Amino acid sequence: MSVDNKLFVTEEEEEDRTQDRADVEDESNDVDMTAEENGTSSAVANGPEKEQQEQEQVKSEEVCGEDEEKEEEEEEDPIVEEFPLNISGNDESLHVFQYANRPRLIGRKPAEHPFISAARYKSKSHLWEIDIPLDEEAFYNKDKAESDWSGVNVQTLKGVGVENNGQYAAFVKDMQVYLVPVERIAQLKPFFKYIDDVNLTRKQEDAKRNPNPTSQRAQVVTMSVKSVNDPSQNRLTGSLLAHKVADEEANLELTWAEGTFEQFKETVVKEAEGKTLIALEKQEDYIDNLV
Amino acid sequence: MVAATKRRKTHIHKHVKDEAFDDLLKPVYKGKKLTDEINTAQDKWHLLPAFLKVKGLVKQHLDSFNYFVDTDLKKIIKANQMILSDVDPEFYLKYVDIRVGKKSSSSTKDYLTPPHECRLRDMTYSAPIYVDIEYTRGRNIIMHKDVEIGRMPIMLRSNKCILYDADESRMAKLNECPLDPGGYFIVNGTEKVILVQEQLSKNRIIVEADEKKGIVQASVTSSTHERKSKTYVITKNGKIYLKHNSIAEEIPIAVVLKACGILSDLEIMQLVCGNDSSYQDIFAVNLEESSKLDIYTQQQALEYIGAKVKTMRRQKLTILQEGIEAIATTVIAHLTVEALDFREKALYIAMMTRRVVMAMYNPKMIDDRDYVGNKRLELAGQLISLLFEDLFKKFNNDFKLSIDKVLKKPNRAMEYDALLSINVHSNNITSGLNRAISTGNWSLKRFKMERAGVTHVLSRLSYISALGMMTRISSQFEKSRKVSGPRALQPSQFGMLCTADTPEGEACGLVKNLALMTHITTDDEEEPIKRLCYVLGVEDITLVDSASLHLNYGVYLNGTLIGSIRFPTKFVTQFRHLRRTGKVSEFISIYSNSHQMAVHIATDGGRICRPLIIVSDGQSRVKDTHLRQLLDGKLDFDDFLKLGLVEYLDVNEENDSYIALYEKDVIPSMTHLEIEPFTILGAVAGLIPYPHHNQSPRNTYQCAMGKQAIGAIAYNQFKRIDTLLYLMTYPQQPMVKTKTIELIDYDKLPAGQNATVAVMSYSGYDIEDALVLNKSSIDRGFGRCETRRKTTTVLKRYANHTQDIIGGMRVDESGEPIWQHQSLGPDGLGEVGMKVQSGQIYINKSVPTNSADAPNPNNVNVQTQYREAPVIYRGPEPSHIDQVMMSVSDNDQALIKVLLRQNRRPELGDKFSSRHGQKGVCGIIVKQEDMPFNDQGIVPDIIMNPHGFPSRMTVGKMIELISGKAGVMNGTLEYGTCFGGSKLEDMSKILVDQGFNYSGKDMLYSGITGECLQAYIFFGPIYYQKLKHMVLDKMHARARGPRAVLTRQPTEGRSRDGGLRLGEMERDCVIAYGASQLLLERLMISSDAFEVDVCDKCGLMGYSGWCTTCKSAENIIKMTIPYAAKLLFQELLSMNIAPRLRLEDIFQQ
Repeated sequence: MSVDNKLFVTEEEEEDRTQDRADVEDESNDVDMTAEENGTSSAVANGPEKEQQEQEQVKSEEVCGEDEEKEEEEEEDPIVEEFPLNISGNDESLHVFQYANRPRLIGRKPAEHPFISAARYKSKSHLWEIDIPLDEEAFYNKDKAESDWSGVNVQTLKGVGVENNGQYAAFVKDMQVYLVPVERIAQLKPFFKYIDDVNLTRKQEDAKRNPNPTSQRAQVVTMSVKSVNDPSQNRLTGSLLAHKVADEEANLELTWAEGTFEQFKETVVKEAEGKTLIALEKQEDYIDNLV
Repeated sequence: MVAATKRRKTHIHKHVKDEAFDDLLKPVYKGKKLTDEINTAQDKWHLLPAFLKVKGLVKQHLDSFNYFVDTDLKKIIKANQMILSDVDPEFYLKYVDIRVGKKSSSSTKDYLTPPHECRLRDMTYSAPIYVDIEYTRGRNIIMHKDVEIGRMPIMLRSNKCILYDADESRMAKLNECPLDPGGYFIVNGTEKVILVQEQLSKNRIIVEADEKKGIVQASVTSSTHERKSKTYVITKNGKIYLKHNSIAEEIPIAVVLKACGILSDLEIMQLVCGNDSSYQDIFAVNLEESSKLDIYTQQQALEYIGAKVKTMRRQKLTILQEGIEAIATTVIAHLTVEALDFREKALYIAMMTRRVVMAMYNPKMIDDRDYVGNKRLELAGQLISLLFEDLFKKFNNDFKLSIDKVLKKPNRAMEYDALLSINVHSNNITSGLNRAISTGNWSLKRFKMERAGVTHVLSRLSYISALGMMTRISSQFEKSRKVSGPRALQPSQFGMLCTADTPEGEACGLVKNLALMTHITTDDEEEPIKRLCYVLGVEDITLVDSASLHLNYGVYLNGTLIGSIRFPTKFVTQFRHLRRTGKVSEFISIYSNSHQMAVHIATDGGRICRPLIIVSDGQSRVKDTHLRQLLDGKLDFDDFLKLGLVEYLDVNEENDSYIALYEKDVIPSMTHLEIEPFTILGAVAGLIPYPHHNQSPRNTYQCAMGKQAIGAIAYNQFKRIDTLLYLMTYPQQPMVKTKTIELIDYDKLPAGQNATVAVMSYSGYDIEDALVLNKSSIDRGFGRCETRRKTTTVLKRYANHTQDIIGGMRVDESGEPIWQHQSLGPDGLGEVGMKVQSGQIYINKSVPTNSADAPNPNNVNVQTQYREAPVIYRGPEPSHIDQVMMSVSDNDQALIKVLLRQNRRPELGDKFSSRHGQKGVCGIIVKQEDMPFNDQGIVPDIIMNPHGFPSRMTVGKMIELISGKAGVMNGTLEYGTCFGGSKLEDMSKILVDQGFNYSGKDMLYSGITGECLQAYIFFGPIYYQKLKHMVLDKMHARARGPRAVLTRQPTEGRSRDGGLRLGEMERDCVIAYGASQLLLERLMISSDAFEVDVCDKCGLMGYSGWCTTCKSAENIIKMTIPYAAKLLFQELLSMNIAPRLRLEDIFQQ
């Protein structure tokens, strides 16, 4: 399926916008649930109290945004219907995946979500990897795969979870909108690990076969104590460090669970029950705090 | 009264107290009373004085410096706040805070030596830089406040200056001129200006095309605190590559994008081309490049790039790491990736590529380098900030090394206190700053930048020249390059940069001046603006997928794509609404560009902007009620901003607006209204009356000449001791003023006099613009000026405790001082008021003869021998001693300054000019009785030849005359403001009412014959400036005099009493004419004739009648040749070439 465009509003009206979002999120939530159920929540325990506060603040943001637009558009854009809003979720830890190279529609039908055979996650680096089994019946050269590419039969997608500011997943139930904060959003892109692996082995073999004359020669190894002033032992910084951390971090193997969406919905609805959202600040204050 | 001042102080707005401007806002001003009807169309110009009251003329310099000392310094400290030791991991030193000129404990500013004292004593006007530090001593953490790490030169009238907010009486007490704009530094006693530098904007994509070579390139100059680099995306044979200085080869763009993690060709295509099939066709070929190189994975791409990186790194990295580092930090360096996700960078590169593809498809989609919106102005604050950060880093480095040195010692007697060694290096910062400002050499290690000529000495020739220097903008372009683009007048300069004020000659068009109502922005925070955008409905770019990237408008913050928006117009309107209500800084600009489908928001510093009145629904938002409140002092300019009546637009946003020139032109689709059209001119061009009637180059000429006019320079002019000062004895304010003249206070410090001019021919001495001057006018003081010249002497102390001394005067037998010492007083210095003639001494200094000897501690009583080294006056005319100052400079050496004054009457050859680029020299001085006169017996001060008008087309000058004449008759000062001013029709009416001809012509009678002249003469007052070029400073003749040592030829130049050269071309003429004896006389006899002994036998030169080569005196012949020729022969000999003279008699005996 495609969650390609899910962050885009496709209809002009605000109501539709939420609706639309919810629709799309519906399916994506399926995916996200797994992470949650398997207890891989990467947002480690903000105290529920604190989280609550934050959510309410965000809530006011949403309300403000709407108010403002209403103000301006009131005349030509009358209110058709009003929906109650709920913000919910304590530790759902929703992750949204964007499948960057999969079309949203196949023909006119929305594409289906692919079957996932394995999912891996590095929680420190927020690195997702999922395997989609390849259709070995069509357009698949089994011989070549086995001889050249060490029998690859899955397509691996990889993506870095990116933080967001104020993105929510939503669904509509009983004419009420339920918003759940999204933790991270990852754009999943193909990752040809098997090519790199084969390249590496090839290189190593090459090195073995035509040994470099310099490496063959016996060398005198001198040992010296590293000077404290030696600037050459700088620690890695920035992106290099991040790459190193990611390389060294072990994968968390996750199980992909399907069809948990209804259950998820229920928990969210249950949670939201009896909670009233109060705006913490006025629109002006909010804007003032913002800039 | 006290209550009134108090009330003003408690008023919420900080009024810059400046009485000079208060005049303009008084209830009765220029004949306008409170009760007068207010006409918005005409009175909206009152916003201009209100603007200048808040902003001032050099506000851009002050703002920039204030921003630096208040904000930027703190940022620099924060970025370099930790000093860690390599030896002791426990040790750290942290900078907590930084302040300039104020201790944390005291509530007031430190006392600084006042600026005028610094000028006189050759000191630097500076304030201490204090830091609060926190560091470890042993196991304890120690806080220390107010540690001085150096001294910072202070910009005059900035908020760290003691003149900040000073009123007129305080300024007077400090010997400062209240009209002095400030904005410069005083370093070692000289006033230094850091000129505004113009540069191409940083961190923005510029697309250019070379149609001949078929190359399109997008480039971006990334600039961060650490590094500066330039990244290109270029086309080569129709394919697109990325080029960067530290990557050896151009990298195919698809490989770069793959290295950034955009692996699928589909996504690359989506990012670069979107759905546009024509772009896709152009771009498709690039996708092949990467598969040709067998690059399919990110790792392969990174390794490919990593192998081509050429960097000097101390740390050894693998090829893959090199690649990561190159993509993360080197390419597009202003976006540094800290984590794993390169998407931001990929997007930026893809955008550059897209712009290239767009320009390939449509060659018109390129940027204009010369467009003012693509330029940024670098001001004093930014330049000093760069310098300071460099010096601070060096300081920290030195500090760290000295800490390490101590900590390395294994057993120290006591715990090491790092504070002790901080002061050792503090001189580095002080002297580094001083040296850079005083020499103008900005050398920054970080950027490998070497820039010379950043600072200039503030020209104090006249008030206008000083003011003109403060608004000057110098360009980084080479002056020698023959390109017309950067020199041409840009339409986008309108209202931002003066259209008239630029020098002639090589710097023409490269040096510009700010217009009257410009403001230059300082850096603003990006982060809150980004958040605001997201609230206003912008979709975060990290979440937007590639396929839908180009469906909507992109939102760019300072050139970086931060998101996309579906309803750009609504977004822009909402954003502007927030800005007008004061929620967002007024200097942040937003505009949309439909060609690029982009909304650009700019918060960066250095953009030129100007205020405009907002128009909504076809009506100006500024109403007469607002202007009434402004005139009553209830509102000031900032209130107009807050009320959303006026806003600042930068050049880019101006392009997104529809601006009416006058209120009558406003139609519903318009968005803004000009405050005053004459603000397109700058301060200097604003002096010209009726400039809109002049041919444009004439206004440019006047801008150059206005700076050379002699006048009053400041209220403290007689207290100043400058190297050279020209002052006009009786300056007058012009009869025909402009609003600019009043705003910049030129009427208080004028440079010129109102001369009665008759436009007619008189004698033959008025050809080629020469002027005829009236002798009686000169007697009455017309054009009289004085020069004041300074001599400085330092009484040096030497290592052996000897010292220069001032001797007394020497007397002759009768007890009278000898002639040379006549002007000296008993103290050996010239007496104030005494006349000194050429050859007389006015500082009788003696220096010890043994100053180079080693100090001799044993016999202190040894009498030191002195040699006289007096300062002797040399000049064609005597001078008077005006002031003598004795003081102590920074390094405790006695400093003597003597000011010599000369009074000068105009004489033949002195240069004058009107305010219309019409210069002329005095051709003859005629007795008043010989000059023509009119019915009332008025005699002109100047007669100007009418031939000056037809080709110059300076109609403004004629109107100035008529307005001036009407003003004289009416008892008023008239206005010649650009695009306005007193109307010619009204002026003619006044003239007619007073019984004059409407056209300003009068009937004149000859002063010689008494007959009435045959024609009516154009006759009336015109403001004339006396220019600094005076005959007395230039006249020069020599019969005999000094010769150069090496060549024995006469010296060169007036200052060395040099000869007048008969040059090559003159020589050729004389040769052609065949005047051989003249040639011989001019080139040899009058120059360097020299008698040599030539040996007829060997042909070489000997001496004293003896040939050293032949060892004989037999064949010696004496002859005269130029000494230079003799020198040539000898030099040739030294190079092993023997020039031999073969002598013959021309005339056979």
